[in-house]
Amino acid sequence: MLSVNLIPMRRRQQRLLRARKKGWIVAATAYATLLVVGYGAWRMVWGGDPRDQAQQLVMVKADIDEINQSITRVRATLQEVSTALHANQMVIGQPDWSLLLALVAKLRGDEVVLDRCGLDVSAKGPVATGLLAVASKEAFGPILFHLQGHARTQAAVSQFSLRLERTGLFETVTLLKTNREPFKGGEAMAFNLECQVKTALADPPGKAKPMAPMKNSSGAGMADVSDAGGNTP
Amino acid sequence: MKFFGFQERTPIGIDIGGKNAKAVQMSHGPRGWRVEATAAIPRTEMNAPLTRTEVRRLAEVLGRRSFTGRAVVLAVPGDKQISGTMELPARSAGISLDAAARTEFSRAYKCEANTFEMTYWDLPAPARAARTTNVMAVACPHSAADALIDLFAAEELDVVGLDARPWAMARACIPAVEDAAGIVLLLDIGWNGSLLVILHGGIVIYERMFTDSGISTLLAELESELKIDPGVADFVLTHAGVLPMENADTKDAISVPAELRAEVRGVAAGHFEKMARDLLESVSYTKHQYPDATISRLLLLGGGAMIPGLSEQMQEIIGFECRVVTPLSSASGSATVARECNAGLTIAAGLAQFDEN
Repeated sequence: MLSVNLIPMRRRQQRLLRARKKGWIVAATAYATLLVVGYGAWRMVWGGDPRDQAQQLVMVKADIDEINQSITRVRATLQEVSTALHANQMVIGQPDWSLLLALVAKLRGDEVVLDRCGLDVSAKGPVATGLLAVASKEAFGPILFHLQGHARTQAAVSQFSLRLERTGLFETVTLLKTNREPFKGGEAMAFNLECQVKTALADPPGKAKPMAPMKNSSGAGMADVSDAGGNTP
Repeated sequence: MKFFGFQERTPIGIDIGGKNAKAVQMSHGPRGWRVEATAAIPRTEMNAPLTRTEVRRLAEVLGRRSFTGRAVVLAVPGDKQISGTMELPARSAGISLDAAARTEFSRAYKCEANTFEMTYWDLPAPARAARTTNVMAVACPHSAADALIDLFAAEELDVVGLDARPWAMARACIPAVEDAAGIVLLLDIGWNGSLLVILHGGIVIYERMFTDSGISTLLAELESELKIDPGVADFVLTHAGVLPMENADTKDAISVPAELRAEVRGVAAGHFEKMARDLLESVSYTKHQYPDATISRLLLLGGGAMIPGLSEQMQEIIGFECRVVTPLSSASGSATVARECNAGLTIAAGLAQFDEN
């Protein structure tokens, strides 16, 4: 059914404006109330006491200090362990040549006596020691193990060479020189052997492990072992 | 307005008559309309312009009588309302019918276009087909509207609607109109005159004020012809009215002497016969406009409709159904409110049903 409203238009517009303003005020008030209530609820449920927060902050700071002190202590320990490791690795890098000497003494048998044995390590680059030396194997040349001595016969020299080869410790065993010489009232075959020590015994095939130098790059030390030779041929 | 299906009170409908000011507040909800509060207060001075004192008194009564809210709907006073029918150009694109209607209205009624508030509605197409748009328009001068609104605003009553009386009548009679075919006549018998409104298809197509058909005129006739006091005439009219004489044993008729009653009945019957003749003249005009439409019924409302026997007499004269409409014809109400609901409050109920939107 039609409704006729003969209130002047300007009055109706003013009224509409007032109603709209009132609506906005109500909506804004409701929104603000909702926000306040929501904030209050949030504070009640999740807010907590500020004093608790300060206490928690102090505890966290204490934890941080303690952790920092632990880190300092652990750093000191780490430094010690690192030094020890460094030293150990340096020691581990030194081969025990006495074992080689013992092996050679065992291999020479009854017909061979040794006069001298020595190591010759030739350097390719600057001197390096310790871990650095291990890490830079390319800096060194082959290690040569020289043996000089006497044998009853030429065959005994050859047998000795073969036994050395069979140990697998050497790349090559080269007989540099043999000649007959007078020896303790008789004659014996003097010999000079050069063995190139394998430097990659523990390495996988094709991947040689570097060996630390015995002394220094130029130090080809020869030990007189004539008295350590054992039996006379 | 409704919220979540609850009953929500309407604005207060206030009908300022010549003798009484009537107020009705209703509510609307899932169970339909309901009359919530009613009030009727006599005017301080009959037929005088409404004063601030009267409005203050009315506001006090509303506060005491279960009315809620300060929003009120008024009817444009009869002497301030301008109405009429117009023929406008046929609706087509590019033509502003609103502007044309306003211009035509100000030309026809000789008033400045920006000094009044006007509205109009399309009338059903008449039998005589024409390439025009027939509309009916009502208007109220801004000066009259502002004065009325300010009068109520001074007492903190917010006028949310200034309705045309014919539409308030139509709204109050919706159930009786909706189940009727064709044309329905509404007759508001008031103190100063009777307002005839003709509805066709639920649309107001005609209104006419019979200024010499009011109850005040009838009382004046009774006073002059029978030489009786106006108070006595009013009493006899209210209690015996135009009931047939054979109904003398009715409760209301017992207290009125038969001779007086007969004399009053005679004068009143003559008054209403004249009113019926005027009414039939108007109907003949409408029948001419809409020859295919039949007259269904006459609905009586207003204070005069409460005169006993009036609807029966009118039905006898005009020859079609006649019934009295009260606010309870379209709404329910508590027992207390129902006792107060009479035809005098019907227009106030129609105003309360005003749809602001």
